[in-house]
Amino acid sequence: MTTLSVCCLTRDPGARVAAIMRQLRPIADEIVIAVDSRLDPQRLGRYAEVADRLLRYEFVDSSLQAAPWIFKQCTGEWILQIDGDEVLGPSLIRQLPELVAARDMFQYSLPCRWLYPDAERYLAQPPWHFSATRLVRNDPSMLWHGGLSHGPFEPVFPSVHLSEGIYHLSLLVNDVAYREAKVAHYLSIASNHDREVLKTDVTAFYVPELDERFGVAPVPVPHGDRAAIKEVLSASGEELPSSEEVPLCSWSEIQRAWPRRTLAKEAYQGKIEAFERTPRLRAGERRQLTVRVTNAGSEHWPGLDRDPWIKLAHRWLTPQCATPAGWVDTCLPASLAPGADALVPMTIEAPPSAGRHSLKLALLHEDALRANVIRRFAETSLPIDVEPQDDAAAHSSGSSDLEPANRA
Amino acid sequence: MGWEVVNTLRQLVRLAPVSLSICCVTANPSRAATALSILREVADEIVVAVDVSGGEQDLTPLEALADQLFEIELGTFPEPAMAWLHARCSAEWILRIDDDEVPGARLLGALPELTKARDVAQYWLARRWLYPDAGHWLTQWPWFPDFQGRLVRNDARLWFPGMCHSSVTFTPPARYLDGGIYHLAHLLCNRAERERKVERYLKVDPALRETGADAHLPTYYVPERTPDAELAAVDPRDRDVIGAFVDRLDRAGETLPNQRSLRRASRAQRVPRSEVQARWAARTLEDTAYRAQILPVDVHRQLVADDHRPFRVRVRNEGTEWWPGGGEERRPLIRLAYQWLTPQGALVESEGHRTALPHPLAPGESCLVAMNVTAPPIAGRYMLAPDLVHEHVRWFQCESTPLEMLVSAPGSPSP
Repeated sequence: MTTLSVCCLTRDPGARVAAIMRQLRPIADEIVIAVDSRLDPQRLGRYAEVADRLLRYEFVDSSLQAAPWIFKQCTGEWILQIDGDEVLGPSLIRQLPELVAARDMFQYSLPCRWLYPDAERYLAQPPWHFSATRLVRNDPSMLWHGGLSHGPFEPVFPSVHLSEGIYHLSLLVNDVAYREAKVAHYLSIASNHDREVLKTDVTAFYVPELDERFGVAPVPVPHGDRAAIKEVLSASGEELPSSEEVPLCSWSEIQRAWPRRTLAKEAYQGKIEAFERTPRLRAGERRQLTVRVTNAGSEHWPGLDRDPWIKLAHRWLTPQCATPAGWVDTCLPASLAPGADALVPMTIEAPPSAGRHSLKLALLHEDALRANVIRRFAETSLPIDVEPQDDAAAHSSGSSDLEPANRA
Repeated sequence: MGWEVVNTLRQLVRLAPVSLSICCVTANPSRAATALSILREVADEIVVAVDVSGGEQDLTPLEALADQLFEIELGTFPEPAMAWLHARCSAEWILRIDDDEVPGARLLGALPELTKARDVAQYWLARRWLYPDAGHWLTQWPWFPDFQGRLVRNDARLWFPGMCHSSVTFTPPARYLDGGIYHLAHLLCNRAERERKVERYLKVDPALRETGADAHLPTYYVPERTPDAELAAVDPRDRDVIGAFVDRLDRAGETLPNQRSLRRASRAQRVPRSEVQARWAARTLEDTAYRAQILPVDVHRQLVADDHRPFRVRVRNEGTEWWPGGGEERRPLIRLAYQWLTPQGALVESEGHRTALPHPLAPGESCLVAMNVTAPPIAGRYMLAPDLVHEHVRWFQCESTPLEMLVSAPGSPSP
């Protein structure tokens, strides 16, 4: 039978979090709650009541940086991510076992319904009417979260947009001053989200009272969902003492799972070697050339276009050109652990003139968000004899096998 | 049961051996049986489709070997059957092999480990073309490395473009393996036969073939044209398995026309061409496929000029064909789009953004689609008319009522 982990990063009141989790208990095989270090470690009893695993993590900057870490704590075949100020619609809860049993779906997007101005109405209009991917298959070949503030899971298809979703309580349980401070905090996080994307909507999200662009026009919450919302909103009670010590995960440990961490100097060790014995190209020919890349450093390289974005790069140094051509990138087609090596095909285009040329190769760490090079390392070069053009094969775009390297 | 115990049990389940289907499309049952017999020990399931478009075939050699045996009718090339064939496989991983290929010892030995990996969706196997004999292979481009996407996770990411000489659609994370398969095409056919094969491939409708490979076809199949082609000796570990394959073919009279008892296998299931081609991505759709219903789900009718927002609609396939979804490039390219009209019906924007369907839709099925919409740049009242489009072919012209939308100027207070 398919298993489901429910996970929650929170510092919301224990009584509310417990009420949310109790609604999910019948369909959750595992509930993983990580509370941030600002909460009193001696008073986590309410969280412990409902969690199969209760963890603490050191909070420094943004809780979203801890998202990749908490997903690694989940052991179910599916993960449902929920916050401590959210309620899942009861009809969606009933559907969950069937949804996670589907073999032909990988992700589900849930509509977010921001309750406003009371618990019986929500904002069903831009910018509040978006869907968010919250129910994902816990499969290392397809689960990826960049840990960016307000950032999504990497999309994997086939997926489904559900019509039932999550009710967001933020506008009801927090006053305007608190929400304005939250907006200011989000906009101050410079390192881990795309501010351009955020600043257009984040103020409206949290402070609809101040938004003039859209004009709020709430719609009624379906009657069948109201009791569940009311139950969570009315949950109260002081925090209870913890019966046992809850382990604290340090910020450095959180950072080790955070894709946008700063890499240590020792990470930048690698080797690039030719795979073909004597690569021969014709002038102007475009084709696939495969090299073997070894990760001789201390860190895991995730490959694809995932942070830390380590890529293979090449450029030609030709006897005729005083200025070498620019670097051309190729993503690693899969992750590469320290000490491991991988074959990486890249599409190259031979210089237009015959003769002895040098193909410069390097590994590149690039900032995926800002597209700037952080470091180039493991540089090497391959001498390649380029033969005069052959009419039959000249400027061929190659076989279909050219595609993979480019599309990685 | 404590969490630790549950976790341990889950780890054990994950460590359990995963299963492997081997599949093959062939027009030569005897040769396919020889190739597949090498893999029988590592396969949990063998699925074979025999092309009977040239007449009845003797399936006896495959009857004892295959777990599922089908008779199908192919056209000039086998790729139209790939999506259908892989859908017949039930294991977690699928290895496809052709009847003129032999797996190397390294691949055979690594299969249990490779199919245990959970962080990979595909393996692309280096293919070595044997030439001029069973003891040597061509080491230079374009014959090598000739990566083939053959060992793939059997899940909904699996997709085949279906063009002549196309492979499975590349789906990362993927690994490229040096230890792969040997291709015996040059040993099993003489030069004249191979040249005819090239001619046949070049006659395939260009719209149905990967024309980028055309320039290499004569080189691939007629290495005699490249007398200085570099060769290497076959890995000693692989000589025995290649030798055994060649010996068995000789004993089976491979070089003779396959004219033994032309008897239909009792176990083989005959599959109509229409069923095989229903999942062929490059198929031509009938007019009856272009029927759909699009209903609005989102209730708001107001946007800000130039704003880019999702607008959810429910799309129902009311046609007769299965539509792909779940990938931007999955053909036939059926996508959701829209037009902007004035309230009087004049066209303002004819080619709105395209949105791929999030998952495939069979006839009668429906799905919610978050349609990417950009509002017109000038404030005013407009009609939003969603429709489906088969790219490069036609609009569906669904009979849905356009939605009246109020577009306000950026920064201006809403009415």
